[in-house]
Amino acid sequence: MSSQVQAIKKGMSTKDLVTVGVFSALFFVATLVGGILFAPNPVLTYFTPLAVALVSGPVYMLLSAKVPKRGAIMILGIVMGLLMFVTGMYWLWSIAYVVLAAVAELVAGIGKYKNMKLNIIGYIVFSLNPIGSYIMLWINQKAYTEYLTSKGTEQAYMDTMLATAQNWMLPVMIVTTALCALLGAILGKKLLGKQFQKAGVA
Amino acid sequence: MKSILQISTYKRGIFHIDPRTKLFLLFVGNVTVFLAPAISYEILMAATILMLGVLCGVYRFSIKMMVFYTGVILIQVVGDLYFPNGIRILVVTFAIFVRKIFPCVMLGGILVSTTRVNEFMSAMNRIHMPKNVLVPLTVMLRYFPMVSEEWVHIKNAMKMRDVSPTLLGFIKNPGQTVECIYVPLLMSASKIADELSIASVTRGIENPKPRTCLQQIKFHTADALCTIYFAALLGLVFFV
Repeated sequence: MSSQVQAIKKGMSTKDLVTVGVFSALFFVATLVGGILFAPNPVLTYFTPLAVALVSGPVYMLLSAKVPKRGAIMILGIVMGLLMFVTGMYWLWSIAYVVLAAVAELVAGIGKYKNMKLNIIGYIVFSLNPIGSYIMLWINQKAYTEYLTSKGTEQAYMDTMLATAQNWMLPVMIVTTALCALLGAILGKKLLGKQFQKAGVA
Repeated sequence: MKSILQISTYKRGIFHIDPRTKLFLLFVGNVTVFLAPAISYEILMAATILMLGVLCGVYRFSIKMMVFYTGVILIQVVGDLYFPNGIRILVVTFAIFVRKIFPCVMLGGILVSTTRVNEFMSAMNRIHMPKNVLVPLTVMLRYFPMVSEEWVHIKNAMKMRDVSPTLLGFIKNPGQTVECIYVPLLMSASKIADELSIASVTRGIENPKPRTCLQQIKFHTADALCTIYFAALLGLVFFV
C-alpha cells in the first residue's frame, strides 16, 4: 500500500477511508446497543451517555490505532452526526458530534495520533457527545420541553425527566461519562495489546 | 447476502428515483417529522412513506414496517387507556420514542435499499461531495447488514466455547463475554476493511477523472413528482 499512500500524499489513502467507513458502522451499532437500553426511560435516560461511552470505546481505540492520521476522527464525527440527524435525534447531538470530533482530532494531533494517552483523552472528549442532546435541559429548559412535547413526547415522561434533572446532574453526568469513556478506552487498549497487536491487525 | 445498497442492475418497482432526489427527500422528510404538529400528521407522513416504498418496489419491507408501525400506535393508544400508572409511563414512552423516530428510519430504509452503489457514488460525485466523506459513507452503508451477519456467527461460536451471549452470561462472566464479542467483531471488521479497500482500488476508485456510470443519472418525472409532493407536505405543516 505504500505506493498508494504516495499517490495521495495529503491525508488519507483509500484504504484508510474504507477502514474508517467500516469502523463507523461498528461505532454506530455500538452506540445503538448502548443507547437502546437506557434512552427510552425517563429516569435512566441520563445513563445513555455512560453506556454509549463504555460500549464504543474499543471500536474507537482500534480505529485510531489503525488509521493514525489527520481526519479519521473528524470523518467518524461527521458520519455519525449525519446518521443521528437522519434517524431523527435532537439536532444538538449531531452538532455535538462534529464539534467534539474536531476537539478530539486536535488533542490526538498533539501526539501525532500515535500517543495512546492523548488518544484516550481524545476519546473521552469525543464520548461526551450524547450530552449534547440533554444540555438544553439546563441551558434553556423551557424551549427544550416545548420542543419535545410538540414532537410528541408525553407530558408524564417530561415531568419524570425534569424531576430527575437537578442542577447537580449535569456535572455528575459529564464526570461519570468521562469515567466510563476512560474505562471503555482502557478496555480497548487492553484488547489491542492482548489480541490485535499479536495478530498484526493494529 | 442481503445487502442494503444494491449491487445488481436489477430494476423493480414503478418509480426509480435519482440519489440526489433521495437526499432531498430524506432531508425534507426528516424536517417534516421534526415539525409535525399532531399524531394524525405523523400517520399521514408514515402512510406517504410506505406508499413511496411500494412504488419503489420495496414490497416486503413496506408491509413489515406497516404492521410494525400500526402495532406501535396500537400499543400507545391501548396502553394509554388501560395500563396501570407505573407500567403505562414505561410502555407508552417507549412506544412514543419508537413512533417518533420510525418514519425517518422507514424512509431511510426504503431509499437506501433501492440505491445501487455505483449509482450513489456517481450521483454524489456530480454534486461534488468530497471523497473523504463519500467513501466512508458508502462503505458504511454496505457494511451495516454484515454486522448483523457477523453477530450470528459470533453467537454460534460463543455457544461452542460455552460462553453465553446473553445478559445473564455477561453478569456471570463479564471479562470473557466482552472479549468474545469484541475481538472477533473487530478482527473481522479490520479484515473486511483490508479486502474491501484492495477490491475497490483494483476497480479504480482512485481514478481522478469524473466517474462514469452505466446507469443513466437524470432528473425524471418521478423525481419531480416526489420532490413536489414532499415539499407540499412540509409546506402543509406551517398552515395546519
